[in-house]
Formats: sequence, C-alpha cells, structure tokens
Amino acid sequence: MENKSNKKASILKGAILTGVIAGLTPLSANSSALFSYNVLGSGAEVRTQILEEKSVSGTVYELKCGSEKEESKKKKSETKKGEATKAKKGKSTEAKCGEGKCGEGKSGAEKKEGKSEEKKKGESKSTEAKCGEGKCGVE
Amino acid sequence: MKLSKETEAIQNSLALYCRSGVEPPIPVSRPESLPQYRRLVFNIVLNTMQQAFPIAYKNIPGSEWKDLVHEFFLNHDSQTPQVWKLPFEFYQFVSQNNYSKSLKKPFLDDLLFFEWIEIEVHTMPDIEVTKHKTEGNLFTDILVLNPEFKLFKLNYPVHIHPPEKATELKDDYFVIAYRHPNDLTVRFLNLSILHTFIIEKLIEEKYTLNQIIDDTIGLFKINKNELIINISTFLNDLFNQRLILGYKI
Repeated sequence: MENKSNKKASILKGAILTGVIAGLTPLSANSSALFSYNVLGSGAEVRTQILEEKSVSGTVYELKCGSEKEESKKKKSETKKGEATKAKKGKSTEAKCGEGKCGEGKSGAEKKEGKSEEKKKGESKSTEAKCGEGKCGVE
Repeated sequence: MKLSKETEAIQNSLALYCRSGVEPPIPVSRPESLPQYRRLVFNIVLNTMQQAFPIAYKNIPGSEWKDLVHEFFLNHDSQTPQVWKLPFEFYQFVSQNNYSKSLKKPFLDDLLFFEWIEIEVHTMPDIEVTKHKTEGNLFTDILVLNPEFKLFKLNYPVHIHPPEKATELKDDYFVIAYRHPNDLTVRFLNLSILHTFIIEKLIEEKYTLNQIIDDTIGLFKINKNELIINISTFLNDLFNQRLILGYKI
C-alpha cells in the first residue's frame, strides 16, 4: 500500500512543476544550484544543528553555564575580571556564569556541573533554569 | 469489547469535562478529584506535542505553545485512539485553522509537518523492496530505491535553519526523509529540484539513468557532460546513504 502511494505521489507534478521550472529558465545559468544537495543526517543531528544555530545567534552564553569549569578557572587566574565580563556582556544570569560563580571549585559544584552537562545535550533550557534557580553561584 | 450505552455516555461526559472544564452531569464519588483527571489528561497531550515537535516547542513562547495545544485539546475531536498519531492531527488542526497567520509564524505549518515526518517515516510499516542485485551498471540498469521514504516540499527551510531565519528564506525546498535499513534511523536530504525530478523518475522503477538523463536535459536544458558528472556523484552518494539499494533484477 505504502509503496504504491509513494510511487504515485509526485511533488513536482502540475502547477508546481510548471511554476518552478518555468521560474528557473534559463537553467544553465544557475546549474550550481541545481546540482547542490545536502546530506542532513539523522533527525537528531538535524535538530541539534538547528537548535545550536539558534542558540549561537541568541543565547549561546546560557549554554555555557557550568561547562567552563577547568578552562575558565585557569583563564580567570590569568585574565582580568573585566575582560571576562566584557566577553560575556548580556543577561544578568549570563554575567553571573561568566564571572565564574557557577561551578567554581567545590566538590558539590562539580557534581552539579556533571548534571548540567548531561542535560545540556538534550535541553538548553535546563541549564538556563539552573542559573535561574540559584544553583549557579551558590557558595 | 463493546461498551454499554450508559458506560459510553459516562466516558464521553468525563472526556468532555477533561477537554472543556464544564462539570459533567454524572454522579461522582469524589468531586474534588475530578480536576486532577483534567490536569493529567491535558499534561499527556501537552507532553506528547512537546516530544513530537521539539523545535516548534523551543521556538514558540511557552504560554503561546500551551494555549495552542489547549485550543487543539478543546476544539479538535481526535480521530485516532493512538497517542503517537495525535501530533499529525495537531499539525492538521494548526494548518487548517491558519494559526500560522494568527500567531504570525509563517513557518509553523512547515515546521510541524517536517517534525511529524520523522515520526511518520520512523513508524511506517515495513515495505517490501523490489528484487535487486548489488552489482550493476549505473547508467543502463534500473536502480532500486529504498522504499521507506517520504519526499516532500516545504516553503520555508525549517529543515536547515532555525525558524526565524527560515522565515526570511521563503522558496521551494525539496526534502527526502527515509528510514535507514541498517539502524532504522530517519535521515534527511535537502534536494534541488533537479534531484527531486531524478528521484521521482527512479521511484517509478521503469527508467535507466541514461533515459532519465535524456529527459532531464530536455526539461532543464543543462550541459550533458556536466549533468552526467554531477548525477553520478549524487547517485553514488545515495548508494552510500542506502537510499538506493541496488540494481533491479
């Protein structure tokens, strides 16, 4: 049944075909567009790509909350605080993370980082929430 | 098992209450528990939509999303008893009632459809593959496609970009989603109109690539050598991706 319906279905027939192909002529001038295709990968990969692109354009620093741990600790000893905050200008919660209150030093904090990293893979919101809930920066 | 009319009426009454909040005209032993049913049932629907449409969920503000699901819950008489199919009815409901316009999210129909397709292809029944061999001639043999796929067109590239960016790029986008025969994951390819044309020809399993190339040149007016080089690369890639399985016997 499905096979037959797949075989019957045409998304290019009729008006679409006429419209789109008529709109493309002369095609030889634009052959690179005609030959380009993208292997997008699995559904999970597509989702990750789209959601990451979204977060890069908007809320990238929220995702970084809790993940800077070692790196940020080292940098902080070398870098002036002013520079760090300059790089992380934005929302107040982001600034808090950027200033290094999030996950700094303590063993309890490390556990929290582990948790938030796990969740980060699936949901950026959970990491946001951690900052908002006050776990981030709790001494 | 067929229910008695009385039981059916009570069930319908309870279902109506869960959807509308209007108290049912039935005797209830613990009236204070009734709202919990409503809350639980709605949460199941809300959670189902959240899982089915993760990109839409993340791109529609929380209250708007909840309102949208609630509108669906209240106004749509579900046709399926299977919860996993409910997202398709949600897509239809949103599309038919033009929520993309009222919410000023022109990408919405495409996004919901795109996200639903993954579920549909993943759960589609197994389809018998045409008998084929793995060795053959790309140009003179008839190629056999993996039949577990869905070819569709979008107006916004919600399969490539986040919705707000996709909104600015309205055009014709052709996508194929297929179930990989090895790991059963659903995979996507973004296609040009030329590739779509070629795949539609391959679906018919009547034409060799040489015949398809002749048709393609006639329609698209492309240089033959350029076409052959590019199409060979494309089709070999489809072999690697297991979207083409072999050569018809």
